[in-house]
Amino acid sequence: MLNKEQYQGMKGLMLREWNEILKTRTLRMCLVYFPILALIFFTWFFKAQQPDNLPVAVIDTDNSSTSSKLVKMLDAVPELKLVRSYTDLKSAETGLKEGTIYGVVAIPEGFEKSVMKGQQGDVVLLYNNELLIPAGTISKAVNKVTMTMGAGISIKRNMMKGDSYETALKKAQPIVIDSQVMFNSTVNYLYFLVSGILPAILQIFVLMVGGYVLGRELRQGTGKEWLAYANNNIIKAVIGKMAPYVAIFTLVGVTYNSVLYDYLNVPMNGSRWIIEIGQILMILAYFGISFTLVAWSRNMRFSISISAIFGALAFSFSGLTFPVSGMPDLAQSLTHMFPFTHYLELFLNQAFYGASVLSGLARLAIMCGFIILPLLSIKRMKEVMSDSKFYGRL
Amino acid sequence: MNAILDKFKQIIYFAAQELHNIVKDSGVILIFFVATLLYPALYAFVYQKEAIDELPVAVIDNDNTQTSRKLVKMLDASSDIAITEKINDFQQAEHLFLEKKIYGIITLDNGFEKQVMKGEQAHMGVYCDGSYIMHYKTVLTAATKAGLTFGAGVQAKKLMMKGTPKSQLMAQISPVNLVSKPLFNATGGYGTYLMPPIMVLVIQQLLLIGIGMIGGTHREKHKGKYIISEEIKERGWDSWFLGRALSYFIIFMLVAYYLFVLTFKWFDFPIHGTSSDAMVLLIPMILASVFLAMWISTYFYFRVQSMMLFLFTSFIFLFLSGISWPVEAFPAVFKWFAQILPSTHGIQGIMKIQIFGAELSEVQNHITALWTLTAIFFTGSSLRFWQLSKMKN
Repeated sequence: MLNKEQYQGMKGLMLREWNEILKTRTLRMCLVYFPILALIFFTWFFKAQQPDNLPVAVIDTDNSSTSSKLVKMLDAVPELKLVRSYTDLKSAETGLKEGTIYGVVAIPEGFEKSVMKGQQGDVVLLYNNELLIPAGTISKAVNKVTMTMGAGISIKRNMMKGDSYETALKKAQPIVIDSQVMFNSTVNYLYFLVSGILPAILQIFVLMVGGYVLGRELRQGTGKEWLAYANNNIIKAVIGKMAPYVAIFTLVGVTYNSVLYDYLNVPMNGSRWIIEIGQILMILAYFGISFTLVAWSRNMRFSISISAIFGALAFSFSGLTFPVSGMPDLAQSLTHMFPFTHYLELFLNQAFYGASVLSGLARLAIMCGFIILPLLSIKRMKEVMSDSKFYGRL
Repeated sequence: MNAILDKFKQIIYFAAQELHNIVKDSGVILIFFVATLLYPALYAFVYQKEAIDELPVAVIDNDNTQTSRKLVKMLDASSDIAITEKINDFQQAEHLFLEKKIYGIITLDNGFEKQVMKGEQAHMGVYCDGSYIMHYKTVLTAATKAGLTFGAGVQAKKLMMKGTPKSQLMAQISPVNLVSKPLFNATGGYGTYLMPPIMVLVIQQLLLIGIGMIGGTHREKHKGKYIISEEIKERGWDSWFLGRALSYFIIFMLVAYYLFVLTFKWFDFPIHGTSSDAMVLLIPMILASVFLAMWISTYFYFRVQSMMLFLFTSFIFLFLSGISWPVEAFPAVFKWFAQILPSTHGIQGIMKIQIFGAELSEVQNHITALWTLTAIFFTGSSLRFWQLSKMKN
């Protein structure tokens, strides 16, 4: 057996992995280049923070001073960019289908007349509700404008009847809704999405690297050699092997958090330390999953394929975009299978909600539970690694 | 004529050979067949409820009068939220919130009824969670709607007492009436929204990863060299290249039929367009992805390399397609970059056909773009294989 002196012992095992990193470009890509690329991409991509200037068609058939006042009010809203090239609903509908506009505001003929006569003036809003973010933004903006205009007309009417402005206002708006946005007060998509996407990307790379570096001992038939460097002590072998990767991913994770909290100013109402520790635990938990998969499947390619499916699903199951509360019961329990779900909870609780350190520690304890999985597989891993019949499998 | 027939035979020969290789490789089977079956089923399962209903919300009714209780009842009647907790102090509400028992808090101050009776403005506090956009929207929209309806009721009562005829009430209360019509996905269903894009993306990504795996395996078997065997050279590298492309194309047309026709039927997703239109769009989408994947696959050195490097791009490509973050808010560079991805045009086109019910003529720009990409990637990949075929073994 090939046995290089320098790879003996804990330090040697780490040196062996370091040389593997220097030798394998794909590994460097998964460890550093691509995670950093993803960081740059997503912070740049959501730079606008909130969608503005969404194209909405305006068809003003009434063409009166009241209707043009409404158009002017719509024009003043930063979320909307009015498109005036459509003249009838039919052509605007084609525009909606082609995706050139997200909505149409139509002011039918007789709008001003109705309002003047003290009747209800109708305004029609058609909007594309398939694209959820623009749909929400547009309907909210148009609603607000028509409400403001309606209230203005009511107030004017009552003032003409002799009410003071104060009284007229009270009459027009008997209930005031004070909406308070807690936690992400500007409803900033950048904060909300980027802070969730980045750890989701990180867990994918952790799974890919974990499957590769453990599985390669089988693929390349170096399992016995690896164990020999650790004096046949599997625990020592695993720690020596994984330490460099845990360290590198921790650095990447710390960089992510630093960009989020120090550069992008994502709110941090709780303990940053707990989040950093949680991220390290998430990395360890995913390495544990890779370990378990390699030990029981005895095949690098299969382990990586399964963890790829697992890693890609984590985002959907975490409830970041579609909430867990809306999932069927079975799916709700499945969400706990993913360490990412727990990390996301921890992050939301600490950063946004400012939960106590104690509740953070409790969550960290739950995440520690994932470490049981690889512990159960240690014996198996040693057997598999020492058995050359599992070597070289595709 | 005979030459063409012979070429055709060679292409079929290599297509059959590649299909045979695929069926023998459990790694590729997992990607081409198992993942394609699994993903749509899993996503359809997670998103089957489509929308949030009866989201639990707490109310702090410090007024506790007939009027305030009526408003609470109206809030509870909304199908989007449910008043599950009636409590007295805000701290308790925050506590419940952190425990995920409730997702929003509504407060009515002492004196609410009095203010309503006296014609003063009465306040309703709505506290919603901005860190979780879906919850935020649900609570705010439902509470606003109930609050406005309640307010209109108050106004109506007063107007009626003054003798305003019923027919004039609405005109008095809201002089400008917004008739709001959500199109295409009227209920805002999440499955309807996300399923078609995800499935288009699945096609592209599984082709990139699967064909990448075949390329990586090829090099791994030949000590890191991309070797085109003498047999292939004799029969013609071009037939080999086209035959392989044909085999992937056949498999993924079947996959596309399963994803966009069968799954849509089984899970009852609303389809407005015709399935044949969808397939017309998917032909160039699959071809472009196949040639792109074959091109890139020649640069892989080991089996799992494509998976390790491409998996995370699914997130990036999904966002670049413009179905989540609107294109208008993209930085300019990404607008351009998105154009060279088959997934962008495939996702936009499928969404317009299946969900918006667009005609083929209304998605012509996407179809043209996909055929252009097919031409570009075909040229690139055939030049690459030509180059490889010229190398000495």
